[in-house]
Amino acid sequence: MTGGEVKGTVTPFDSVFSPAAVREAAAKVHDSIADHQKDLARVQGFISDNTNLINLVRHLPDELSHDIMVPFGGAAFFPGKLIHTNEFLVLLGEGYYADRTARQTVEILKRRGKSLELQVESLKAKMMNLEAEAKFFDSTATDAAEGLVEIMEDYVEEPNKSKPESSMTTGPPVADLEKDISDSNGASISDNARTSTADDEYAQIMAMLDEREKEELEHENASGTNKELGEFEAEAPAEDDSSSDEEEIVEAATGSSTSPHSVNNKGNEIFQNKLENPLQDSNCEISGKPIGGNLQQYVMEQSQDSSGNAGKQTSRTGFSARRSFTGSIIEHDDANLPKSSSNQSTSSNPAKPVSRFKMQKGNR
Amino acid sequence: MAESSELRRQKVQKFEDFVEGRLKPDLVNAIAQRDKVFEQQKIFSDLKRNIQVLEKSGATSLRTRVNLGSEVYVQADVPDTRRVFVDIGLGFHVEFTWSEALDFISVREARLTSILR
Repeated sequence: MTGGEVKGTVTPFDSVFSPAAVREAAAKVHDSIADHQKDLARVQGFISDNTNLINLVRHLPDELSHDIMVPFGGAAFFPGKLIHTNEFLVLLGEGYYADRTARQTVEILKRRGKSLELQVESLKAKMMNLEAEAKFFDSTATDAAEGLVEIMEDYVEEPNKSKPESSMTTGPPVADLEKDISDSNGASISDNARTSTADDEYAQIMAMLDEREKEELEHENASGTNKELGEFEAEAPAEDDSSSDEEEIVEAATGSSTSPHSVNNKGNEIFQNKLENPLQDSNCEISGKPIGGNLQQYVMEQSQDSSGNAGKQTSRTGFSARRSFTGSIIEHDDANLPKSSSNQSTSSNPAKPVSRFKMQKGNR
Repeated sequence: MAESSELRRQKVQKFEDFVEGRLKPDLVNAIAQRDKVFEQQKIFSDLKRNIQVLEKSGATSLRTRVNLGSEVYVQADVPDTRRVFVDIGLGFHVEFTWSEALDFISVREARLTSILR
């Protein structure tokens, strides 16, 4: 990166989100929140009425008849009695009524209450969304008022394999632009750089993968699984883009089939690195589904494949089908398969990552 | 000349504001109150009609359905219909016979129409 060169665009928040408009939007959201609040109160009133009615209907049949004042129109009453206290006429809707006993009426009213509660739940969910929106608008309004600036810059590809640190060199030239730069904006630049870095290295790793394939085919029956994985580890650092990812890959590579959580890495890099393993003798299962239950099932299905070739092909088609992989990866060794099929990671497994890690460190 | 037209425009603006701000809400309020009075009138005229029907049929007892709320009805029996309790306002209900009730209702209706005037 040549220093001092101004690249990209700087847009003050004021122009993108004018404070007045944002405040108006915030006010609108607040209004709709108030409306929803009213609806919520109304529906909750219905629910309480319903509960009272249920209690009344329950206790009416206790007596043969009750003395009441019977309303006559809106402004007159007759003294009278409630009779047939176990028979209720219930409106089912659309002009249809049903004669029901007290217990049956209670059932009907309970069902009504449940549907009302569902309404309350949906209203509450809507309100939470609106409140989040309102918060966002408020914060944007204050940010815009403070004169925050959004800086966008295109990422220029480095000729050599670049670490994320090198992409950070875009930092100084950007800082030359004399505006207020918040921490969040600086982070967004590096994030943009990182993702474009990832895309480039994705392509690079693809090329290296092809080379590795040929090498591994030669080594296929030569040595045991461990050694192959060891080779894999040795080669891996050469193409690392971030050391932290690499460590996670190592840990994931070893018997982590039992604990999907440890493999919870997202990124294409990990996926490609993992992909080298299926090309070896050992069966490597790659699961694209982040759901834990399906994960195990998928893993078990893969483990049915006896031939390495079949495993290679499925994983390869799976690879091509899932270019942007954001799930977890499980890897099995043939030798460790029976152990790993039970859901406890064996004691030997935690030891391995440590040793490989050391080996990797030694290789650097 | 321009000044006078300017002044005129300002006056027009003032009057418009006055109409919007003062008169229109007043109109809305007045309409609401009138509707309330109409409602009362309707209630009492219905009551009168019902009492007259009762008188004509000469029924002493009544079988009716009472709304417990949320459209759940229970049968009710009125053994003696000759005594009606009518709401005369301020939370009071007075026990009337049919003829007394009819008299009261006509007095009430007259008062309501005078309010409307």
